[in-house]
Amino acid sequence: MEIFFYFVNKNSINPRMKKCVSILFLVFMVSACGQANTANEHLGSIDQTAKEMRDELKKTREFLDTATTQSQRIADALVSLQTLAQDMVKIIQTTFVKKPPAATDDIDSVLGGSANEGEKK
Amino acid sequence: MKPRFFGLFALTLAFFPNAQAGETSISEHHCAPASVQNVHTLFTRYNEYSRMPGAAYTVDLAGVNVELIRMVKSQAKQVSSTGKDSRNNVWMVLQPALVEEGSLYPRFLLDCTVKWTGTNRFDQLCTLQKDKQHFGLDDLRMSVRVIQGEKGCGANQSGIQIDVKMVSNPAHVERIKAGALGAAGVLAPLLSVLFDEDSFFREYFHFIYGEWIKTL
Repeated sequence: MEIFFYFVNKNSINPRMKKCVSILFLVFMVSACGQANTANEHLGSIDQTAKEMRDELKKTREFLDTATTQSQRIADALVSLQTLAQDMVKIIQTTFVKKPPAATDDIDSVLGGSANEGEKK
Repeated sequence: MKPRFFGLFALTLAFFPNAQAGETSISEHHCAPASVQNVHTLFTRYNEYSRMPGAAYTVDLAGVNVELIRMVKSQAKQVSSTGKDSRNNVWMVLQPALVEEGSLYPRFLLDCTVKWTGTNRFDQLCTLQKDKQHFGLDDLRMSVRVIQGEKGCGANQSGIQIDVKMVSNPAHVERIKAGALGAAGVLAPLLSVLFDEDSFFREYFHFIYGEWIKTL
């Protein structure tokens, strides 16, 4: 900019040349303003994308927190199930204890008896 | 299915006879690597039945080996014998798991005949004697046909055809069930709901014959 004004104010330069340089300078400035505007728009878009990503990250964090809680619940439930299974095994072992057979008739008394003989005892 | 859960399944299927009991049957064929004579010796060891493999029917229940039923008595009295043919009275008593009272044990007197129908073949037929003491079953007919070198089996094998028909007694079955459930404690509701009682005897006889044949 300083160079431009130095150039414009210099008396030794042809006025036509000054006019031409001024127009070129003006065109350059307009173009620079346009570029700056486009860059600004891009920055706005990047800012919007960053905001969306922040929202997504927030959602992901919330999801991970929930998943962690659920995993913990599942782990607790598995421990409970394991305990239940162990209790079940103990109950089965206790319930199905092998017992000696009760006294029953021998073949001789069965051969000498009738169909309902065992029922009477 | 994991074995332990299969055990539970089998238990639920096999433990009690059906309240709506009816006729149920087994029909199976085996080729055993044994002579007909060896099969005859095994199948006519009536006094040994309760001590032979298969006498106790067990299942894996949640990793616990549970004995569901055991033959606790097998006694034979020979009626007649002609050559290799024979006829015996055979008294069998089964002890179901959890049932403590002896009067609730399934039991029956069988009339077992063995008839040789050739050098390499014999038939065995055991039928329940309805006019003698019996509990759990109203009828039972166990038929075995053994033929050495039977078509379909190897030359040194014996073909064994097994046909069993049985009719359980609903009233007896209910009493056995009540006796077992009374001792089942906290397991009673589960056992009561899940049991398919119809397969009780069928499973047992299927198991016992299978175990005998394995020993040949």
